[in-house]
Amino acid sequence: MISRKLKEYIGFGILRLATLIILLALFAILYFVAVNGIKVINWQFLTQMPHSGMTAGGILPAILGTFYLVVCAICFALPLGVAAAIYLTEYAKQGKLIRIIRIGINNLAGVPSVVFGLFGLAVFVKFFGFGISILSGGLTLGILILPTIIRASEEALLVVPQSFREASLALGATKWQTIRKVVLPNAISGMLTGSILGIGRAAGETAPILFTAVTFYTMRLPRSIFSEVQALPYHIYALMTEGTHPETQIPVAYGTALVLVFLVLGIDSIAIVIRNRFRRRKKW
Amino acid sequence: MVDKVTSHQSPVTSKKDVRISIRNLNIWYANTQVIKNVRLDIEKNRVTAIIGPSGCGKSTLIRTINRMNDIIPDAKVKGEILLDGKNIYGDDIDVVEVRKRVGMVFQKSNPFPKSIFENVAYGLKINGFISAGGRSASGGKKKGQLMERVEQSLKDAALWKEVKDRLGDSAFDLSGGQQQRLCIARALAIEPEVVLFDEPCSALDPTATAKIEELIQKLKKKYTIIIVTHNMQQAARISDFCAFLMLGELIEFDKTDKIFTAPSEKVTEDYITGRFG
Repeated sequence: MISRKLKEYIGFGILRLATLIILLALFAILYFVAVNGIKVINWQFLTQMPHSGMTAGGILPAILGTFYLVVCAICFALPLGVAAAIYLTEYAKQGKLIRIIRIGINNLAGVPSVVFGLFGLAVFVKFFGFGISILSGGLTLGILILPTIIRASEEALLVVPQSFREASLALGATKWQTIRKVVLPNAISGMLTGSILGIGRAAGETAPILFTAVTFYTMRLPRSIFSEVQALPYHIYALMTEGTHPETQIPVAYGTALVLVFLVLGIDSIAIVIRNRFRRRKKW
Repeated sequence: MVDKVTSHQSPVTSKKDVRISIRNLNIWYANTQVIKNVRLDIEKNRVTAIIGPSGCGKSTLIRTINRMNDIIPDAKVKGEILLDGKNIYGDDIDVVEVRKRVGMVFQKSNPFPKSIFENVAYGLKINGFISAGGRSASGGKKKGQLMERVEQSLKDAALWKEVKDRLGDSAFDLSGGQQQRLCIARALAIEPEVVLFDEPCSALDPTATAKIEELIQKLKKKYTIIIVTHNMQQAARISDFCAFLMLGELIEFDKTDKIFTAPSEKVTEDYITGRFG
Protein backbone atom coordinates (compact mmCIF):
# COMPACT_ATOMS: atom_id res chain seq x y z
CA MET A 1 0.00 0.00 0.00
CA ILE A 2 1.31 3.39 -0.92
CA SER A 3 0.30 6.16 1.39
CA ARG A 4 -2.16 8.84 0.34
CA LYS A 5 0.57 11.38 0.60
CA LEU A 6 2.77 9.53 -1.84
CA LYS A 7 -0.15 9.12 -4.24
CA GLU A 8 -0.75 12.83 -4.14
CA TYR A 9 2.91 13.46 -4.70
CA ILE A 10 2.99 11.17 -7.75
CA GLY A 11 -0.23 12.69 -9.08
CA PHE A 12 0.98 16.26 -8.87
CA GLY A 13 4.35 15.15 -10.20
CA ILE A 14 2.77 13.82 -13.37
CA LEU A 15 0.75 17.00 -13.86
CA ARG A 16 3.82 19.13 -13.31
CA LEU A 17 5.80 17.00 -15.75
CA ALA A 18 3.14 17.40 -18.43
CA THR A 19 3.26 21.17 -18.04
CA LEU A 20 7.04 21.11 -18.21
CA ILE A 21 7.07 19.07 -21.41
CA ILE A 22 4.73 21.55 -23.06
CA LEU A 23 6.85 24.49 -21.98
CA LEU A 24 9.95 22.69 -23.13
CA ALA A 25 8.47 22.09 -26.57
CA LEU A 26 7.49 25.73 -26.84
CA PHE A 27 10.91 26.98 -25.87
CA ALA A 28 12.62 24.43 -28.09
CA ILE A 29 10.73 25.75 -31.11
CA LEU A 30 11.45 29.36 -30.26
CA TYR A 31 15.09 28.59 -29.56
CA PHE A 32 15.53 26.59 -32.73
CA VAL A 33 13.96 29.28 -34.91
CA ALA A 34 15.86 32.04 -33.14
CA VAL A 35 19.26 30.38 -33.33
CA ASN A 36 18.90 29.58 -37.01
CA GLY A 37 17.19 32.79 -37.99
CA ILE A 38 18.95 35.46 -36.00
CA LYS A 39 21.99 35.44 -38.29
CA VAL A 40 20.17 36.95 -41.24
CA ILE A 41 18.10 39.43 -39.24
CA ASN A 42 19.20 42.99 -39.59
CA TRP A 43 17.61 46.29 -40.51
CA GLN A 44 17.94 45.69 -44.24
CA PHE A 45 16.28 42.31 -43.90
CA LEU A 46 13.21 43.94 -42.43
CA THR A 47 12.99 47.01 -44.61
CA GLN A 48 14.16 46.10 -48.07
CA MET A 49 12.89 44.34 -51.15
CA PRO A 50 14.38 40.94 -51.91
CA HIS A 51 16.82 40.54 -54.76
CA SER A 52 19.14 37.98 -56.33
CA GLY A 53 16.43 35.34 -56.51
CA MET A 54 15.33 35.69 -52.89
CA THR A 55 18.76 34.88 -51.55
CA ALA A 56 19.62 38.41 -50.58
CA GLY A 57 17.94 41.64 -49.62
CA GLY A 58 14.97 41.86 -47.32
CA ILE A 59 11.50 40.48 -46.83
CA LEU A 60 9.54 43.72 -46.49
CA PRO A 61 6.86 42.77 -49.03
CA ALA A 62 6.17 39.54 -47.18
CA ILE A 63 5.91 41.29 -43.82
CA LEU A 64 3.54 43.90 -45.22
CA GLY A 65 1.61 41.27 -47.14
CA THR A 66 0.94 39.18 -44.05
CA PHE A 67 0.04 42.29 -42.09
CA TYR A 68 -2.49 43.41 -44.71
CA LEU A 69 -3.97 39.93 -44.99
CA VAL A 70 -4.45 39.70 -41.24
CA VAL A 71 -5.95 43.18 -40.99
CA CYS A 72 -8.32 42.39 -43.83
CA ALA A 73 -9.31 39.08 -42.22
CA ILE A 74 -9.96 40.72 -38.85
CA CYS A 75 -11.92 43.61 -40.36
CA PHE A 76 -14.16 41.09 -42.02
CA ALA A 77 -14.43 38.38 -39.39
CA LEU A 78 -14.53 40.32 -36.13
CA PRO A 79 -17.71 42.35 -36.72
CA LEU A 80 -19.39 39.44 -38.43
CA GLY A 81 -18.39 36.93 -35.76
CA VAL A 82 -19.32 39.20 -32.87
CA ALA A 83 -22.67 40.01 -34.44
CA ALA A 84 -23.39 36.33 -34.99
CA ALA A 85 -22.40 35.52 -31.42
CA ILE A 86 -24.68 38.24 -30.05
CA TYR A 87 -27.54 36.96 -32.13
CA LEU A 88 -26.97 33.34 -31.11
CA THR A 89 -26.66 33.96 -27.38
CA GLU A 90 -28.86 36.98 -26.77
CA TYR A 91 -31.61 37.01 -29.34
CA ALA A 92 -32.16 33.65 -30.96
CA LYS A 93 -34.72 31.38 -29.38
CA GLN A 94 -32.67 28.46 -28.09
CA GLY A 95 -33.85 25.33 -29.81
CA LYS A 96 -33.07 22.72 -32.39
CA LEU A 97 -32.20 25.18 -35.16
CA ILE A 98 -29.71 27.08 -33.00
CA ARG A 99 -28.15 23.79 -31.91
CA ILE A 100 -27.66 22.81 -35.54
CA ILE A 101 -26.15 26.21 -36.35
CA ARG A 102 -23.74 25.81 -33.43
CA ILE A 103 -22.72 22.34 -34.57
CA GLY A 104 -22.18 23.79 -38.03
CA ILE A 105 -19.94 26.54 -36.69
CA ASN A 106 -17.93 24.08 -34.64
CA ASN A 107 -17.49 21.84 -37.64
CA LEU A 108 -16.32 24.80 -39.67
CA ALA A 109 -13.45 25.03 -37.20
CA GLY A 110 -12.43 21.49 -38.04
CA VAL A 111 -12.35 21.89 -41.81
CA PRO A 112 -8.79 21.53 -43.18
CA SER A 113 -7.39 24.90 -44.14
CA VAL A 114 -6.57 23.86 -47.70
CA VAL A 115 -10.29 23.36 -48.25
CA PHE A 116 -10.83 26.99 -47.28
CA GLY A 117 -8.18 27.86 -49.84
CA LEU A 118 -10.11 26.05 -52.57
CA PHE A 119 -13.32 27.68 -51.44
CA GLY A 120 -11.69 31.11 -51.57
CA LEU A 121 -10.38 30.39 -55.04
CA ALA A 122 -13.80 29.37 -56.31
CA VAL A 123 -15.82 32.08 -54.60
CA PHE A 124 -13.71 35.18 -54.07
CA VAL A 125 -11.11 34.85 -56.79
CA LYS A 126 -13.34 33.50 -59.55
CA PHE A 127 -16.99 34.08 -58.75
CA PHE A 128 -16.69 37.58 -57.30
CA GLY A 129 -13.79 38.31 -59.59
CA PHE A 130 -11.50 39.72 -56.89
CA GLY A 131 -8.60 37.85 -58.47
CA ILE A 132 -5.52 36.76 -56.58
CA SER A 133 -5.51 39.61 -54.11
CA ILE A 134 -5.30 40.78 -50.52
CA LEU A 135 -9.09 40.97 -50.52
CA SER A 136 -9.59 37.36 -51.63
CA GLY A 137 -6.96 36.07 -49.21
CA GLY A 138 -8.17 38.23 -46.34
CA LEU A 139 -11.77 37.09 -46.78
CA THR A 140 -10.67 33.45 -46.96
CA LEU A 141 -8.62 33.83 -43.79
CA GLY A 142 -11.58 35.65 -42.25
CA ILE A 143 -13.85 32.68 -42.83
CA LEU A 144 -11.17 30.42 -41.43
CA ILE A 145 -11.06 32.31 -38.13
CA LEU A 146 -14.80 33.00 -37.89
CA PRO A 147 -15.56 29.93 -35.76
CA THR A 148 -12.82 30.87 -33.29
CA ILE A 149 -14.18 34.38 -32.98
CA ILE A 150 -17.81 33.29 -32.73
CA ARG A 151 -17.10 30.71 -30.09
CA ALA A 152 -14.90 33.00 -28.00
CA SER A 153 -17.47 35.78 -28.28
CA GLU A 154 -20.30 33.50 -27.27
CA GLU A 155 -18.36 32.35 -24.24
CA ALA A 156 -17.54 35.94 -23.35
CA LEU A 157 -21.23 36.84 -23.56
CA LEU A 158 -22.31 33.86 -21.50
CA VAL A 159 -20.03 34.71 -18.57
CA VAL A 160 -21.64 38.14 -18.20
CA PRO A 161 -23.85 37.50 -15.18
CA GLN A 162 -27.54 37.14 -15.96
CA SER A 163 -28.20 39.45 -13.00
CA PHE A 164 -26.73 42.39 -14.96
CA ARG A 165 -29.21 41.79 -17.75
CA GLU A 166 -32.08 41.49 -15.29
CA ALA A 167 -31.07 44.70 -13.52
CA SER A 168 -30.96 46.58 -16.79
CA LEU A 169 -34.25 45.21 -18.11
CA ALA A 170 -35.96 45.90 -14.79
CA LEU A 171 -35.00 49.56 -15.19
CA GLY A 172 -36.98 49.78 -18.40
CA ALA A 173 -34.07 49.29 -20.76
CA THR A 174 -34.78 47.60 -24.03
CA LYS A 175 -32.95 44.42 -24.92
CA TRP A 176 -30.79 46.34 -27.35
CA GLN A 177 -29.87 48.98 -24.74
CA THR A 178 -29.07 46.20 -22.31
CA ILE A 179 -26.77 44.50 -24.76
CA ARG A 180 -25.04 47.68 -25.84
CA LYS A 181 -24.56 49.31 -22.45
CA VAL A 182 -24.27 46.40 -20.05
CA VAL A 183 -23.50 43.14 -21.80
CA LEU A 184 -21.02 44.21 -24.48
CA PRO A 185 -18.76 46.38 -22.30
CA ASN A 186 -18.38 43.41 -19.99
CA ALA A 187 -17.86 40.87 -22.73
CA ILE A 188 -15.44 42.78 -24.89
CA SER A 189 -12.28 41.58 -23.20
CA GLY A 190 -13.25 37.97 -23.79
CA MET A 191 -14.10 38.76 -27.38
CA LEU A 192 -10.66 40.25 -27.87
CA THR A 193 -9.09 37.10 -26.49
CA GLY A 194 -10.92 35.23 -29.21
CA SER A 195 -9.62 37.51 -31.90
CA ILE A 196 -6.09 37.18 -30.53
CA LEU A 197 -6.28 33.46 -31.16
CA GLY A 198 -7.74 34.20 -34.57
CA ILE A 199 -4.97 36.62 -35.50
CA GLY A 200 -2.29 34.10 -34.64
CA ARG A 201 -3.95 31.51 -36.76
CA ALA A 202 -4.62 33.86 -39.70
CA ALA A 203 -1.05 35.11 -39.79
CA GLY A 204 0.46 31.64 -39.78
CA GLU A 205 -1.76 29.85 -42.28
CA THR A 206 -0.35 29.04 -45.69
CA ALA A 207 -2.93 26.90 -47.44
CA PRO A 208 -5.86 29.36 -47.46
CA ILE A 209 -3.81 32.09 -49.11
CA LEU A 210 -1.96 29.78 -51.45
CA PHE A 211 -4.54 30.03 -54.24
CA THR A 212 -6.13 33.29 -53.23
CA ALA A 213 -3.58 35.93 -52.39
CA VAL A 214 0.08 35.11 -52.59
CA THR A 215 2.79 35.16 -55.11
CA PHE A 216 6.37 34.08 -54.66
CA TYR A 217 7.83 37.32 -55.83
CA THR A 218 6.58 40.77 -56.68
CA MET A 219 8.61 43.73 -57.81
CA ARG A 220 6.31 46.21 -56.11
CA LEU A 221 4.73 46.60 -52.73
CA PRO A 222 0.97 46.06 -52.77
CA ARG A 223 -0.87 49.19 -53.84
CA SER A 224 -4.49 48.27 -53.16
CA ILE A 225 -6.56 45.46 -51.75
CA PHE A 226 -6.69 44.03 -55.25
CA SER A 227 -2.92 43.55 -55.40
CA GLU A 228 -1.40 40.16 -55.02
CA VAL A 229 1.11 39.98 -52.23
CA GLN A 230 3.95 38.05 -50.72
CA ALA A 231 3.27 36.62 -47.30
CA LEU A 232 5.57 35.30 -44.61
CA PRO A 233 4.35 31.70 -44.27
CA TYR A 234 4.25 31.22 -48.02
CA HIS A 235 7.64 32.83 -48.36
CA ILE A 236 9.09 30.23 -46.01
CA TYR A 237 7.38 27.46 -47.92
CA ALA A 238 8.67 28.76 -51.25
CA LEU A 239 12.21 29.24 -49.99
CA MET A 240 12.33 25.68 -48.70
CA THR A 241 10.81 24.01 -51.75
CA GLU A 242 11.76 26.08 -54.74
CA GLY A 243 14.86 27.83 -56.03
CA THR A 244 18.32 26.56 -56.70
CA HIS A 245 20.42 27.92 -53.84
CA PRO A 246 19.36 26.04 -50.73
CA GLU A 247 22.52 26.99 -48.84
CA THR A 248 21.55 30.67 -48.92
CA GLN A 249 17.76 30.20 -49.03
CA ILE A 250 17.44 28.14 -45.87
CA PRO A 251 18.90 30.77 -43.51
CA VAL A 252 16.58 33.34 -45.10
CA ALA A 253 13.66 30.97 -44.44
CA TYR A 254 14.59 30.72 -40.76
CA GLY A 255 14.94 34.47 -40.56
CA THR A 256 11.50 34.82 -42.09
CA ALA A 257 10.10 32.33 -39.60
CA LEU A 258 11.56 34.33 -36.74
CA VAL A 259 9.98 37.49 -38.10
CA LEU A 260 6.64 35.71 -38.44
CA VAL A 261 6.78 34.50 -34.85
CA PHE A 262 7.54 37.98 -33.60
CA LEU A 263 4.91 39.59 -35.79
CA VAL A 264 2.26 37.30 -34.31
CA LEU A 265 3.55 37.91 -30.79
CA GLY A 266 3.52 41.64 -31.50
CA ILE A 267 -0.08 41.70 -32.72
CA ASP A 268 -1.07 39.50 -29.79
CA SER A 269 0.52 41.77 -27.24
CA ILE A 270 -1.31 44.80 -28.62
CA ALA A 271 -4.58 42.91 -28.20
CA ILE A 272 -3.54 41.73 -24.74
CA VAL A 273 -2.84 45.31 -23.66
CA ILE A 274 -6.27 46.41 -24.89
CA ARG A 275 -7.88 43.46 -23.18
CA ASN A 276 -6.17 44.13 -19.89
CA ARG A 277 -7.29 47.71 -19.97
CA PHE A 278 -10.89 46.56 -20.25
CA ARG A 279 -10.40 43.84 -17.69
CA ARG A 280 -9.07 46.19 -15.05
CA ARG A 281 -12.43 47.90 -15.02
CA LYS A 282 -14.39 44.78 -14.30
CA LYS A 283 -14.68 43.47 -10.81
CA TRP A 284 -17.25 40.84 -10.14
CA MET B 1 -64.87 24.69 -10.72
CA VAL B 2 -64.75 25.88 -7.16
CA ASP B 3 -62.44 28.82 -6.87
CA LYS B 4 -60.92 28.28 -3.48
CA VAL B 5 -59.06 31.54 -3.34
CA THR B 6 -61.98 33.81 -4.07
CA SER B 7 -63.68 32.52 -0.97
CA HIS B 8 -61.50 34.92 1.01
CA GLN B 9 -62.78 38.40 1.41
CA SER B 10 -60.19 40.78 0.01
CA PRO B 11 -58.73 42.74 2.94
CA VAL B 12 -58.30 45.80 0.78
CA THR B 13 -61.11 48.02 1.86
CA SER B 14 -61.82 50.33 -1.00
CA LYS B 15 -61.58 49.57 -4.70
CA LYS B 16 -60.03 52.93 -5.47
CA ASP B 17 -57.04 52.15 -3.27
CA VAL B 18 -56.09 49.19 -5.41
CA ARG B 19 -52.97 49.74 -7.47
CA ILE B 20 -52.45 46.21 -8.71
CA SER B 21 -55.04 43.56 -9.12
CA ILE B 22 -53.90 40.05 -9.90
CA ARG B 23 -56.72 38.01 -11.36
CA ASN B 24 -56.82 34.26 -11.93
CA LEU B 25 -53.10 34.10 -12.51
CA ASN B 26 -51.64 30.79 -13.65
CA ILE B 27 -47.99 30.26 -14.48
CA TRP B 28 -46.23 27.27 -15.93
CA TYR B 29 -42.55 26.52 -16.37
CA ALA B 30 -42.58 24.05 -19.25
CA ASN B 31 -45.24 21.61 -18.04
CA THR B 32 -45.05 22.32 -14.34
CA GLN B 33 -47.66 24.66 -12.98
CA VAL B 34 -46.04 26.88 -10.38
CA ILE B 35 -48.80 29.44 -9.75
CA LYS B 36 -52.37 28.27 -9.52
CA ASN B 37 -55.26 30.62 -9.98
CA VAL B 38 -54.00 33.37 -7.73
CA ARG B 39 -56.13 36.42 -7.02
CA LEU B 40 -54.60 39.26 -5.09
CA ASP B 41 -55.28 42.99 -4.69
CA ILE B 42 -52.34 45.23 -3.85
CA GLU B 43 -53.21 48.47 -2.11
CA LYS B 44 -51.29 51.58 -2.96
CA ASN B 45 -48.85 53.14 -0.52
CA ARG B 46 -48.85 49.99 1.51
CA VAL B 47 -46.37 47.19 1.98
CA THR B 48 -47.70 43.83 0.88
CA ALA B 49 -45.61 40.84 1.86
CA ILE B 50 -45.67 37.49 0.12
CA ILE B 51 -44.59 34.65 2.38
CA GLY B 52 -44.48 30.90 2.06
CA PRO B 53 -42.14 27.92 2.11
CA SER B 54 -39.32 27.53 -0.42
CA GLY B 55 -40.46 26.71 -3.91
CA CYS B 56 -44.02 27.93 -3.31
CA GLY B 57 -43.85 30.34 -6.21
CA LYS B 58 -43.24 33.60 -4.32
CA SER B 59 -40.43 34.79 -6.57
CA THR B 60 -42.25 33.66 -9.68
CA LEU B 61 -45.31 35.61 -8.61
CA ILE B 62 -43.44 38.82 -7.88
CA ARG B 63 -41.39 38.60 -11.08
CA THR B 64 -44.60 38.41 -13.04
CA ILE B 65 -45.67 41.83 -11.83
CA ASN B 66 -43.03 43.60 -13.94
CA ARG B 67 -42.87 40.87 -16.55
CA MET B 68 -39.38 39.76 -15.64
CA ASN B 69 -40.54 36.21 -16.29
CA ASP B 70 -40.63 37.08 -19.97
CA ILE B 71 -36.91 36.39 -20.15
CA ILE B 72 -37.27 32.85 -18.83
CA PRO B 73 -37.72 30.46 -21.73
CA ASP B 74 -40.66 28.08 -21.36
CA ALA B 75 -42.47 30.30 -18.87
CA LYS B 76 -46.15 30.63 -19.71
CA VAL B 77 -48.49 33.09 -18.06
CA LYS B 78 -52.28 33.01 -18.13
CA GLY B 79 -54.60 35.41 -16.38
CA GLU B 80 -54.52 39.12 -15.77
CA ILE B 81 -52.46 41.55 -13.77
CA LEU B 82 -54.12 44.95 -13.74
CA LEU B 83 -51.89 47.92 -13.04
CA ASP B 84 -54.19 50.87 -12.42
CA GLY B 85 -56.89 48.93 -14.19
CA LYS B 86 -54.88 48.03 -17.28
CA ASN B 87 -53.76 44.47 -17.95
CA ILE B 88 -49.97 44.40 -18.22
CA TYR B 89 -50.26 41.13 -20.13
CA GLY B 90 -52.56 42.74 -22.67
CA ASP B 91 -51.66 42.80 -26.36
CA ASP B 92 -51.22 46.57 -26.58
CA ILE B 93 -48.77 46.78 -23.68
CA ASP B 94 -45.18 47.93 -24.03
CA VAL B 95 -43.14 45.77 -21.64
CA VAL B 96 -40.50 48.47 -21.30
CA GLU B 97 -43.15 50.91 -20.05
CA VAL B 98 -44.42 48.38 -17.51
CA ARG B 99 -40.92 47.94 -16.13
CA LYS B 100 -40.43 51.68 -15.83
CA ARG B 101 -43.55 51.88 -13.72
CA VAL B 102 -42.83 48.75 -11.71
CA GLY B 103 -39.26 48.71 -10.42
CA MET B 104 -37.51 45.75 -8.90
CA VAL B 105 -34.85 45.02 -6.32
CA PHE B 106 -33.37 41.56 -6.52
CA GLN B 107 -32.44 38.94 -3.98
CA LYS B 108 -28.72 39.32 -4.53
CA SER B 109 -27.56 42.88 -4.94
CA ASN B 110 -26.61 43.29 -8.58
CA PRO B 111 -24.94 46.63 -9.18
CA PHE B 112 -23.39 47.14 -12.59
CA PRO B 113 -19.59 47.09 -12.75
CA LYS B 114 -19.62 50.85 -12.99
CA SER B 115 -19.21 53.75 -10.59
CA ILE B 116 -21.76 54.48 -7.87
CA PHE B 117 -22.95 57.49 -9.83
CA GLU B 118 -23.24 55.61 -13.11
CA ASN B 119 -25.26 52.87 -11.44
CA VAL B 120 -27.95 55.28 -10.34
CA ALA B 121 -27.73 57.31 -13.54
CA TYR B 122 -28.10 54.25 -15.77
CA GLY B 123 -31.88 54.10 -15.72
CA LEU B 124 -32.10 57.86 -16.14
CA LYS B 125 -29.73 57.90 -19.09
CA ILE B 126 -31.53 55.22 -21.00
CA ASN B 127 -34.69 57.20 -20.42
CA GLY B 128 -33.26 60.30 -22.00
CA PHE B 129 -31.60 62.14 -19.15
CA ILE B 130 -28.21 63.60 -19.96
CA SER B 131 -25.48 64.89 -17.74
CA ALA B 132 -24.87 68.62 -17.47
CA GLY B 133 -21.80 68.54 -19.64
CA GLY B 134 -23.13 66.01 -22.12
CA ARG B 135 -24.56 66.79 -25.47
CA SER B 136 -28.23 67.25 -25.75
CA ALA B 137 -29.98 64.82 -28.03
CA SER B 138 -33.51 65.63 -26.95
CA GLY B 139 -33.37 69.37 -27.03
CA GLY B 140 -31.69 69.74 -23.66
CA LYS B 141 -34.94 69.72 -21.74
CA LYS B 142 -33.63 67.34 -19.15
CA LYS B 143 -30.14 68.71 -19.14
CA GLY B 144 -28.59 69.15 -15.75
CA GLN B 145 -31.29 67.27 -13.94
CA LEU B 146 -29.27 64.10 -13.92
CA MET B 147 -27.06 64.97 -10.97
CA GLU B 148 -30.04 66.22 -9.00
CA ARG B 149 -31.97 63.06 -9.61
CA VAL B 150 -29.05 60.83 -8.71
CA GLU B 151 -28.57 62.72 -5.46
CA GLN B 152 -32.26 62.57 -4.62
CA SER B 153 -32.42 58.83 -5.33
CA LEU B 154 -29.39 58.15 -3.14
CA LYS B 155 -30.99 60.22 -0.38
CA ASP B 156 -34.25 58.33 -0.74
CA ALA B 157 -32.33 55.08 -0.43
CA ALA B 158 -30.55 56.40 2.71
CA LEU B 159 -27.17 56.01 1.07
CA TRP B 160 -26.25 59.59 0.17
CA LYS B 161 -24.35 60.40 3.36
CA GLU B 162 -22.14 57.34 3.00
CA VAL B 163 -21.24 57.81 -0.67
CA LYS B 164 -21.50 61.50 -1.45
CA ASP B 165 -17.73 61.98 -1.44
CA ARG B 166 -16.97 58.98 -3.58
CA LEU B 167 -19.58 58.81 -6.30
CA GLY B 168 -16.89 57.93 -8.81
CA ASP B 169 -15.77 54.80 -6.94
CA SER B 170 -16.73 51.39 -8.21
CA ALA B 171 -20.02 50.10 -6.86
CA PHE B 172 -18.16 46.93 -5.94
CA ASP B 173 -16.20 48.81 -3.28
CA LEU B 174 -19.40 49.13 -1.23
CA SER B 175 -20.43 46.66 1.46
CA GLY B 176 -23.21 44.16 0.77
CA GLY B 177 -25.85 46.25 2.51
CA GLN B 178 -24.70 49.42 0.77
CA GLN B 179 -24.77 47.64 -2.58
CA GLN B 180 -28.35 46.60 -1.96
CA ARG B 181 -29.31 50.18 -1.04
CA LEU B 182 -27.54 51.32 -4.21
CA CYS B 183 -29.74 48.93 -6.16
CA ILE B 184 -32.75 50.44 -4.40
CA ALA B 185 -31.55 53.95 -5.33
CA ARG B 186 -31.09 52.79 -8.90
CA ALA B 187 -34.65 51.46 -8.98
CA LEU B 188 -36.06 54.65 -7.40
CA ALA B 189 -34.22 56.96 -9.80
CA ILE B 190 -36.65 56.40 -12.63
CA GLU B 191 -39.57 57.13 -10.28
CA PRO B 192 -41.59 53.96 -10.55
CA GLU B 193 -45.03 53.69 -8.96
CA VAL B 194 -44.51 50.23 -7.58
CA VAL B 195 -41.31 48.71 -6.21
CA LEU B 196 -40.93 44.96 -5.99
CA PHE B 197 -38.48 43.51 -3.49
CA ASP B 198 -37.53 39.89 -4.04
CA GLU B 199 -36.03 38.77 -0.72
CA PRO B 200 -33.87 41.88 -0.56
CA CYS B 201 -32.25 40.99 2.75
CA SER B 202 -31.53 37.31 2.31
CA ALA B 203 -27.82 37.93 1.83
CA LEU B 204 -27.45 40.67 4.45
CA ASP B 205 -26.47 40.76 8.10
CA PRO B 206 -28.98 41.94 10.75
CA THR B 207 -27.72 45.54 10.83
CA ALA B 208 -27.94 45.96 7.08
CA THR B 209 -31.32 44.21 7.15
CA ALA B 210 -32.63 46.64 9.76
CA LYS B 211 -31.60 49.57 7.57
CA ILE B 212 -33.40 48.19 4.54
CA GLU B 213 -36.51 47.47 6.58
CA GLU B 214 -36.53 50.99 7.94
CA LEU B 215 -36.09 52.27 4.42
CA ILE B 216 -39.01 50.24 3.10
CA GLN B 217 -41.20 51.73 5.82
CA LYS B 218 -40.31 55.21 4.58
CA LEU B 219 -40.66 54.36 0.93
CA LYS B 220 -44.28 53.32 1.23
CA LYS B 221 -45.28 56.97 1.57
CA LYS B 222 -44.28 57.46 -2.04
CA TYR B 223 -44.47 53.98 -3.54
CA THR B 224 -46.55 50.87 -3.50
CA ILE B 225 -44.38 48.07 -2.21
CA ILE B 226 -44.50 44.33 -2.63
CA ILE B 227 -41.92 42.24 -0.84
CA VAL B 228 -41.18 38.55 -0.99
CA THR B 229 -39.58 37.34 2.18
CA HIS B 230 -38.47 34.16 3.76
CA ASN B 231 -38.35 35.76 7.11
CA MET B 232 -41.70 35.80 8.87
CA GLN B 233 -40.59 38.24 11.52
CA GLN B 234 -39.66 40.58 8.72
CA ALA B 235 -43.08 40.23 7.14
CA ALA B 236 -44.69 40.89 10.52
CA ARG B 237 -42.51 43.92 11.17
CA ILE B 238 -42.80 45.77 7.90
CA SER B 239 -45.90 44.74 6.00
CA ASP B 240 -49.47 45.99 6.12
CA PHE B 241 -50.87 43.09 4.16
CA CYS B 242 -49.61 39.58 3.96
CA ALA B 243 -50.23 36.85 1.42
CA PHE B 244 -49.42 33.27 2.31
CA LEU B 245 -48.57 31.12 -0.66
CA MET B 246 -48.09 27.38 -0.70
CA LEU B 247 -47.38 25.09 -3.66
CA GLY B 248 -48.45 27.85 -6.01
CA GLU B 249 -51.78 28.46 -4.33
CA LEU B 250 -52.76 31.50 -2.37
CA ILE B 251 -53.83 30.05 0.95
CA GLU B 252 -54.62 33.22 2.78
CA PHE B 253 -54.44 36.96 2.19
CA ASP B 254 -55.24 39.45 4.90
CA LYS B 255 -54.04 42.31 7.01
CA THR B 256 -50.70 41.37 8.49
CA ASP B 257 -51.97 41.70 12.07
CA LYS B 258 -54.73 39.25 11.36
CA ILE B 259 -52.47 36.73 9.62
CA PHE B 260 -50.05 36.69 12.51
CA THR B 261 -52.56 36.76 15.34
CA ALA B 262 -55.64 34.99 14.08
CA PRO B 263 -55.11 33.26 10.74
CA SER B 264 -58.22 31.70 9.26
CA GLU B 265 -56.46 28.68 7.84
CA LYS B 266 -54.87 25.98 9.93
CA VAL B 267 -51.99 25.61 7.48
CA THR B 268 -51.15 29.31 7.73
CA GLU B 269 -50.95 29.02 11.46
CA ASP B 270 -48.74 25.96 11.18
CA TYR B 271 -46.39 27.81 8.87
CA ILE B 272 -46.09 31.02 10.84
CA THR B 273 -45.61 29.17 14.08
CA GLY B 274 -42.76 27.29 12.45
CA ARG B 275 -44.30 23.84 12.31
CA PHE B 276 -42.96 23.45 8.76
CA GLY B 277 -41.22 25.48 6.09
